[in-house]
Amino acid sequence: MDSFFTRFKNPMVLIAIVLTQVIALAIQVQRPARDAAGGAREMDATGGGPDGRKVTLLRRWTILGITPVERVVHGSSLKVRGVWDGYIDLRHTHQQNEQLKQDVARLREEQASFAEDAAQGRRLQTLLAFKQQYVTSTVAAQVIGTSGSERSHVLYLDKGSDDGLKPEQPVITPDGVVGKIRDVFPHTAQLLLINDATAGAGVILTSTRVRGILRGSATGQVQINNLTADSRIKPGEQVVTSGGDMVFPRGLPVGVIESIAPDPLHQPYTAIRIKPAANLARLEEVLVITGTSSTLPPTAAQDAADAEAAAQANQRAADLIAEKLPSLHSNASDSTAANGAEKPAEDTESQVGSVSGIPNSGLPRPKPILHPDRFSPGATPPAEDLRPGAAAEPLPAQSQKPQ
Amino acid sequence: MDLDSVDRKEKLSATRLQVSQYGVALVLVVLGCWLWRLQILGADTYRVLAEQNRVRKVPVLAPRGRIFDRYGRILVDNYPSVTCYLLREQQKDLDADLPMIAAGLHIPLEQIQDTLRNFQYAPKYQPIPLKQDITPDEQAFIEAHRNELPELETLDEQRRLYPKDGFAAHLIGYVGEVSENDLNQERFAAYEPGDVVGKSGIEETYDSILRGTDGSRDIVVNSHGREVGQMGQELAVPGQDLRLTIDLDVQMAAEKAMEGKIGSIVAMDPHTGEILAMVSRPTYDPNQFSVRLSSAYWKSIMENPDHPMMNKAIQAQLAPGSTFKIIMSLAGLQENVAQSLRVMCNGGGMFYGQFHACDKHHGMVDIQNAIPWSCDTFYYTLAEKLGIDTIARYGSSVGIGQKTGIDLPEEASGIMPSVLWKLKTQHQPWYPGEVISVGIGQGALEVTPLQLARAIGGIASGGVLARPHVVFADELRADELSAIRSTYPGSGDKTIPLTNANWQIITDAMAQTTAPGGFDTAAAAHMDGIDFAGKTGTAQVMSHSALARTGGGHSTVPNAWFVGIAPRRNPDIVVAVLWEHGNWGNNSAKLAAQVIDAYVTEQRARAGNLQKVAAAPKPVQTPDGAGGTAPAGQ
Repeated sequence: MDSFFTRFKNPMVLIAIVLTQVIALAIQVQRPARDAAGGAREMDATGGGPDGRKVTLLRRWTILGITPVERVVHGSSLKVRGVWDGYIDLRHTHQQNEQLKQDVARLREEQASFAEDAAQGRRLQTLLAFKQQYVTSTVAAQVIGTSGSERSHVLYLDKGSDDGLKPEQPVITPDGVVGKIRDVFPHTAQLLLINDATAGAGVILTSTRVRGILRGSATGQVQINNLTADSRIKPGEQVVTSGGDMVFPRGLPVGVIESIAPDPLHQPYTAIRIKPAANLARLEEVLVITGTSSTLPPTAAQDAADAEAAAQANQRAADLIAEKLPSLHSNASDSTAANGAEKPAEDTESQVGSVSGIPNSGLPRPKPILHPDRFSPGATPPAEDLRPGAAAEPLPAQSQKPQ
Repeated sequence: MDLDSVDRKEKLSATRLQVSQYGVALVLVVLGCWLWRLQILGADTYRVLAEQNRVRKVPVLAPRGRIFDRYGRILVDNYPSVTCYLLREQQKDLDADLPMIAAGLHIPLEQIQDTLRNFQYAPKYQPIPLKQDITPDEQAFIEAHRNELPELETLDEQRRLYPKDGFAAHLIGYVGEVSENDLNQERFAAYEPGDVVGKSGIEETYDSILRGTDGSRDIVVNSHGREVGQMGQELAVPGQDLRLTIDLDVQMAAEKAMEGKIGSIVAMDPHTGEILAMVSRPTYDPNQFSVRLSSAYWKSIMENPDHPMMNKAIQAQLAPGSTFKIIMSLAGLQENVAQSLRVMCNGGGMFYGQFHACDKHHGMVDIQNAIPWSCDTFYYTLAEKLGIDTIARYGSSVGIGQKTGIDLPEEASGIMPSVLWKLKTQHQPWYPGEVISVGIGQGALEVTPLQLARAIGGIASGGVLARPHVVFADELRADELSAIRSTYPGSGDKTIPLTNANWQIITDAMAQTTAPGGFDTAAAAHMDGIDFAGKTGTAQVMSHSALARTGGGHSTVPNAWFVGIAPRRNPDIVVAVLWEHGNWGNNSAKLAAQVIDAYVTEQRARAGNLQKVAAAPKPVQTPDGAGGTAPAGQ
């Protein structure tokens, strides 16, 4: 027996390793994300989302293993590029030197204006902060990697649950909305960009106050495609978040309308393409909104109330269409309403006829006509001149069918 | 020792090697066979299985056809709406997500759990509808959480939009999800659970025409079940638009006339049977039924003693009162009894040993006076002379006691009492004295407003009765038309004998009813410039059976009936008004006048026969009230 194990030591070890892997895989596959697999418990406290979302152990280990490597690669690639630029790529140095001297002079001038711009930027940011005071805290994070897939638009950030990041937190740049946090690891987090096919947000078109749903797509475009054709919506209109999606706070800039076209696959909706305000292709630094206050400052509350009122006015397409249908209580005057006036003098039997609580209805006054017709008194011929059931004279031209 | 062991080793390896060689070879052969089976023989099957995993069929719901009035004015439209579904195919623990879903969609958590329990045994691939007609915010919530909540799916659909305030609600009907009971019927063979079907009115009768055919899209989904592309699609075929015989102007006038009252107005073109207006009050809001019905609203409808869901135009069965005297006159004149009948009315008379009252002392009455005066004594006498079976024969000939065959569901047939009817239904002999109250439209007699309109419209048309209908026959294919007619059988199109002289007597007497001066039953409803004739009816509601049928009981005030026509012979419009507890037929006559005026005004406008004046001057009245309104200077 002893010799059996010594003799087959290598195959046994191999089988054991393979088995372990298979079992690990099976656990991963059979009990996905949801189950609290041992080590994920600590994630509960830090990384658990509002729905108690957890990340599997294996995945976490993988990310933990890969992140330092990515960090090193990201850092060293910058360094290598620096070495290349500084020492090796010297071919056109002299021409460049002359060029650069001129540039330096120009840049010095520009620097002054940039300083001005920066100050303005800070002012704008304070302004933004003033308007969005209910964004109470943010965490600045650096983009350290991409998902590496054409179809998904996910970036890795250098901050994680240890820095207070949680899934679902909105991510912005000073330009506008970028996306939201997807999965969180201790020192890393995934940023799901708004142009990903699985991303979405509730938005308001600022001038028309129409509410729409923003969606990403596999091709990386940002679209609103739940709105029916509306002549008021024009390219160039600003789009901001509506706050209705329970992810993004109200009023963050999203982008501007780039184009509007009918969507043949989704009649009767139109496809409205949005140019995102933030440059999603070249993101380096982002802000993760980690805290929002539940109570709005008075100005923001007023803004929210205004927007709400405006949104209520055209919230449902149903209300717009309903206006075209007949209604008893519309203001549109028609002949019946005009003729419905009471004629109490002629109400000879009102004493007999009126029941308490039941008002007597008015009698119409037929409109004056140009010449007597078949409805005029005395126009009906005696019975012997008539054919039973026959129309007295041809009825006026009948209706056209609805198109 | 050494040699021994080497020997043993060699010996072992020789045999073992062979065995393991064969073993490996066997395993390889088995694996090879399986590979062959999987990759070559089963390729198609497994490819299909793999595709199904990747490609999902998503229904594209066909919008229902819109509904228009006779002149193409829209009555019922659709609006785009989004429904949220829960998919259970995901490898996910749904229970953990429920609180988040509940918060995002603004549904109580318990309600979602209840819904899930209801679908517990349904197949996993069947999506569970969570909430219909979700708001933009709720849709935004779903879209913003596609990663976290991939089990939520939205579906765009075209939802029914009905006019507000219950306008024409009983006529149009409403739609709802097909019920389990319905699915077991042959009529619903082609329907699937969750399908939307017409539940009443036109929506029910013409469901097959209005509904269209749903399409589908084959979408490619990723491992999360999210759509990433589209393979193909089958376009939805929208339902066919339907043009009704309803005239929006007339309908509007009838709706306004009935506002705040209980009862019904039905207007019809007696030439063709085309229904021009159909109103029933109290009404209900069909829009409440097109989205999930709130229990509070349902309760308020069910507890209303005046039956808001009942289409009183075709379902209220009530004693017609004096309006039945037109049918009595038809019987009396055609039997050559009424022409020479002279009755002395002293406020009633003795019949079969009992005193039956008339509301006035009319003096000497003949048939010409009896109709506009609505003298009960005359008709007691006539009923006594004719006998119940003759009355029943004429009543049946104009469709009393039978369905008219209108293309609307649940039409009531009413009751035309006769000796046979009493024997059959009550197993009792007919007492001759009972005929007296039938003679004035009381007793066991029960009619619907539509029956009365068709009968009196037919008599005024010289005996030509038409099958009432709400959709033009030329809107339908021949097979659809015959299917509708066999589904809704009834008295239909028919002609009854009526001599010209009798036709003239009845219609001229009906015109006297609304003529000013002399007779006072409906003179208050007189309109200058329109040849408006009719007959009032004031029906007692003391009868217990009638009370039970209206469900009322809160009032013993009589029902006010009026059937009006214009012009008096071969009328273009007949209007039957039932105002429950309206007290006096004359009150209903004024409502009928409003409807007739709306119709005539519209016809005159379409014929270009209205004076174009900014401020309508008072029409000049001709002294005799006849000859039309001749405006000054003409």
